[in-house]
Amino acid sequence: MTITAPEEAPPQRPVPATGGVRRWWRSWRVALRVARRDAWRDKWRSLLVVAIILAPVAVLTTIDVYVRTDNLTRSAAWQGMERIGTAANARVVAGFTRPAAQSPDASTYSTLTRDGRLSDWSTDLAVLKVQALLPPEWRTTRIWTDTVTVRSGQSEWGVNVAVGDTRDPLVAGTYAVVEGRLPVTPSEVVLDTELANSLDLPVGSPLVLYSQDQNGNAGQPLGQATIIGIANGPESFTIGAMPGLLPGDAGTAMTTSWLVETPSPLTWSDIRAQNQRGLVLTSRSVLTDPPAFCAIDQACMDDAPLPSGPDAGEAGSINLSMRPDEAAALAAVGMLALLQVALMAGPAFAVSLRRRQRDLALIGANGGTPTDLRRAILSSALVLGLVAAGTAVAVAWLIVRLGGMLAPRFGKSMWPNPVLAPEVVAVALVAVIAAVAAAWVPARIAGRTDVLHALRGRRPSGPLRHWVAGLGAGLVAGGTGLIAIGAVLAEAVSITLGLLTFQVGTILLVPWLVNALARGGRRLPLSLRLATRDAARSRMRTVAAVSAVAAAAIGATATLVGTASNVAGRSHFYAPRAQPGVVLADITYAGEHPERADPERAVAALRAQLAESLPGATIGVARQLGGYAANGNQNTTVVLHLPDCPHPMAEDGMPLTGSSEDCMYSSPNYTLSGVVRADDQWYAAVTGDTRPEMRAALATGEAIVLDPQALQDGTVELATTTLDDNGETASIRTTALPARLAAFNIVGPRVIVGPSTTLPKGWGRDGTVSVAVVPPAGPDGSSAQAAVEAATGALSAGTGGRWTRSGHAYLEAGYQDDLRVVLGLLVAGTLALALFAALSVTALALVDARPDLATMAAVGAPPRSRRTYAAASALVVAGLGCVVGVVAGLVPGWALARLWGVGWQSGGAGVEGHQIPGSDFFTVPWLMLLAIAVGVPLITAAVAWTFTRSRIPLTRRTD
Amino acid sequence: MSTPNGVSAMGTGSGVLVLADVTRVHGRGPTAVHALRGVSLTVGAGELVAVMGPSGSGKSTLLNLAGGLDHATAGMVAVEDMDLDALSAAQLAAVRRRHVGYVFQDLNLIPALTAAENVSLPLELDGATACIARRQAREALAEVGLLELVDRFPDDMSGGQQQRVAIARALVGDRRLILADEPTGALDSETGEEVLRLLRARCDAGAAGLLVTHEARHAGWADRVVFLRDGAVVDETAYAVTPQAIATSS
Repeated sequence: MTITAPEEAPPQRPVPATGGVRRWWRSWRVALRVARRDAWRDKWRSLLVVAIILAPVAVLTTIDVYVRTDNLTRSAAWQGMERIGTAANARVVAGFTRPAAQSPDASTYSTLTRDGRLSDWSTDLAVLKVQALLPPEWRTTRIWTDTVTVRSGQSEWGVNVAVGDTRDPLVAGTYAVVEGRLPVTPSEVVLDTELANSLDLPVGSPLVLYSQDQNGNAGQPLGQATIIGIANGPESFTIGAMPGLLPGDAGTAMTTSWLVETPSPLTWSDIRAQNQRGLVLTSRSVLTDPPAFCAIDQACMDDAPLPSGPDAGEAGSINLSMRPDEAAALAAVGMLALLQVALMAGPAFAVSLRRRQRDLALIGANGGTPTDLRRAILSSALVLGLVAAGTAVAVAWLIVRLGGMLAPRFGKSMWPNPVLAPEVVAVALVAVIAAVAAAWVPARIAGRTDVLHALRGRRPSGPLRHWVAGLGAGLVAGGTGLIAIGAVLAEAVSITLGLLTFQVGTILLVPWLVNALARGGRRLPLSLRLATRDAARSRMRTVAAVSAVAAAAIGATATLVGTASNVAGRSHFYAPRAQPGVVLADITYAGEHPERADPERAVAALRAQLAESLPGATIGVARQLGGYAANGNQNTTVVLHLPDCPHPMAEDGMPLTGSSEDCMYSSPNYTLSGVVRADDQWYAAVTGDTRPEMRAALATGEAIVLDPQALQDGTVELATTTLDDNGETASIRTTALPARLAAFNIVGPRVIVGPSTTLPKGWGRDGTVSVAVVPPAGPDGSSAQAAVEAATGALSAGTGGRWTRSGHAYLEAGYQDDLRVVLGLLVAGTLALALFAALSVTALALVDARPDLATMAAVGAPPRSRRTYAAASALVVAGLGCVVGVVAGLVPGWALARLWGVGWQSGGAGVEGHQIPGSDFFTVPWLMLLAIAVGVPLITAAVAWTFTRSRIPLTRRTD
Repeated sequence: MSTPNGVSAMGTGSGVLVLADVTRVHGRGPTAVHALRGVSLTVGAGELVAVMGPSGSGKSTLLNLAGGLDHATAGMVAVEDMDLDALSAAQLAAVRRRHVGYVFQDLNLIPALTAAENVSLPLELDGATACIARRQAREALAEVGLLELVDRFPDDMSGGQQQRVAIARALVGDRRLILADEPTGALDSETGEEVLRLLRARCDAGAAGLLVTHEARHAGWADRVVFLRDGAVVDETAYAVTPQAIATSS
């Protein structure tokens, strides 16, 4: 056969355009369509990926939506809405003789001068004059508030009374009735939930309302009514009443408002028109749809600068501004969270790549470019990320909405429609970014697909790049440096950024580690040898899973080390309040006439009671010096005056508390502190000091000083201040006492004087008495504590509540910081993450190992081989991740130990410890870390072993 | 004679592999497929038997039954006087570790294991120490002429080398039955001939071999050829002089 050349070359086909936005968009459109169908076809895998991404994003979104909605709920706009109720459409909140200016939510308002400037608005009108300003076509009802005192038992509360005709339909919606109904006669009242709980009076009980004297105490009875329900209004601690219950019934213009029903909704221009007549209003339509110049949660006025005043900044505006270092730390934490999500979802996309390998090869064989192959994987991530983002926003909105619906049941209220702010969109975008980040490496590998290789069914894998490991080592070193700098300078930003760098470096090192493990595993048992080498051969999926486990283990280890070190420091510097096993109880006189308190009698009653319930117990008594002087209502306080320190009295006559660098004063945390007068039993019970010379010192009028700083030349200087009836300093006097030092690390008293120590006249007596009970041998501490509680309770009942116990009886049991739950949760969280990551990879490994397992079956592997292989695979992933995480986590753990240590090291005297410059605690909870490094991988392997079918594929093929 | 896990041997004649009236049916009722119908076959020590037939004739089923990877619906399969049907899964696995060696067309080796590790796999699975298993694997590899590849991974070997490693694995230890399913299917003709020559040599050294093949050229290496069609033996050649025998006699 002769082949002749054509006379003319055939016309060439036009080369298709390879660029352009349209082609790019079409390519993505096709890829997204395929991804969408693929996701639908493989629903369970898609659900898994969406769930992994959704969970953290939904939590963040919910927090954001809740915070914004809650801010709005506390805004003036929302309170204005609550005050308008459901029937009225506006509320007049103030009225003036001159034109006024107001913000849309009326949180700020003022009168205007003749030239239109804001002026002081002290010229408020009488109620009737304001009423006369209301247009006649408006239907109105008046509500005003008053302040009264109510009693329950020995307690008194000052509360608001909202008086209005609750039968008027315009009042509807201003109260949310929880129980009973609203009052219809002047002899009926409703309480809000908080007040009802405080008074502990059931519906149906009578309630007497008293006037308030100038000190806020109950004065004359004003009226009596029956509690007929519980209803919540916009103000807490409020009684709802009808006109006629309280005398006067007038209120002032400043405490009166009018609910208004207007023929048509009041717009912002209507309000501005009423402002010209001197009325200040809130309108439902303006509150829900504020004018353009003002956001709904801001206090703003359109024609005048914001007035200054206490209400000016309380309109509920949300201040999201933060310092640059805070923003950097937050961004780094966000990146860490994003990284974790991406790592968790990573293996799922590795599965996707493996599953779609043949599809990708076919795309490649039919002209698909590497970009097309990458796009095929990334589009899948995009689809799943978008679904996760949308679902997260919907879930957050629903949760907050549901919370809003349930809130009234708990006496709260919530803005009816949760706010979806731009931040929510940003947080939701995180879901998409996380998904794309998780698919990034699989997409890169997809782009390098060797078509022939893939069509033969070989696994996608690339050569190990040693420079990546080098980069990882560099980042780990850099991260360690940043963390170290942060730890030394106690800078959270540096530590967080360092941790992020460190984490990324660790991830880059993992491929090299996986490879090294496979190379070094020659001597391992068969299953482990297979698992390590398979892990190395399928690095993509292994690295994502190992990194996810390692990241979780790093976090857990760092927190464990930081917490353990912190606890060790606190424990080391813990100062007890008494000797171990001693029970302390403080009783205080709460009667009307403190000068008539008889502490000796109360203590005698307490001793008699304890002699029955705790026979054989030693009881010591101490009293706080200062308090009410015997000659009247003058208040006297006795404090230490330390050498070279500022005078311990502040300008207001109150003692300074806390500590400065060298000067320590009384602790604000305990009832009995500073200077106390104690008997020797109390002194011994609290300090454990039974030396005869100290007893003698107390008996001969010497002071015992527990604080070396307070002693100078064998004396201690005490200062007193006396306040007059107006609460102003009447006199300050100092006196010096001979003293001995007994430097016990005890919280509370700094100076102890004996019962017979003579103090200057007028130093007074105090109502607070401390009883230290040393239980007899036998009963455990808690039963002794219960006995003291019971005895002090009986004393309170026997004295008609005049003597009451302050707080609970305290049992000194040494340093208590039970962190087992928190630490256990950390380990459990790591286990959960390790289980998830390792098992998902193991499932994939089992699929990949099917031909190998068949070969093993053919050469006589026992039936359990598949299980053993699965357990070994899980062990390799979880083990490598946990060991790397624990080792790597020690560095940030050390940083956290230093960072958290700053808090207690600079804590004031009488808290957990004194400031010890340069002191540093680094405690490694080895048992917990062992649980993570060994226990978690073993449990993961056991779970994989348990839930894997033992049957291995017996036949290689069937005819 | 060793028996797996204490299973007693039975008297089935002198064949290393004996199939007596073996039937294998997949499925039930109208959808039932008869993969084998009353096949009887004996392979003795030192004998290489080739099984030929078109696709779907039951060749691979026959091989799976012979190795205990599948169970006969009826009839009896015995390896070295052990009735495979009477053995549990674990005992069958032990039979494959100690008595039967498989060679497949491809995917014979586990890619994560080196040549020596692949060969020593049955020994390791049988509890042999790593040292002993490795020594025996080296010996087996030396017999197939691949001593220099002991530490090489399958991905770094040619197809022929992989099949020779598979044959070494099939014979490591005291195994006397080689089941080869198209062992040359993925090889070029020259390499395929080499593999068959090796198989023939192992049989001449005393092993029993059952070779499934499509190609008459390869069947020429066998002592006998059994023809299968639709699951039944339709023809069987007499004992023949093999090319190897001719080569050695000359």
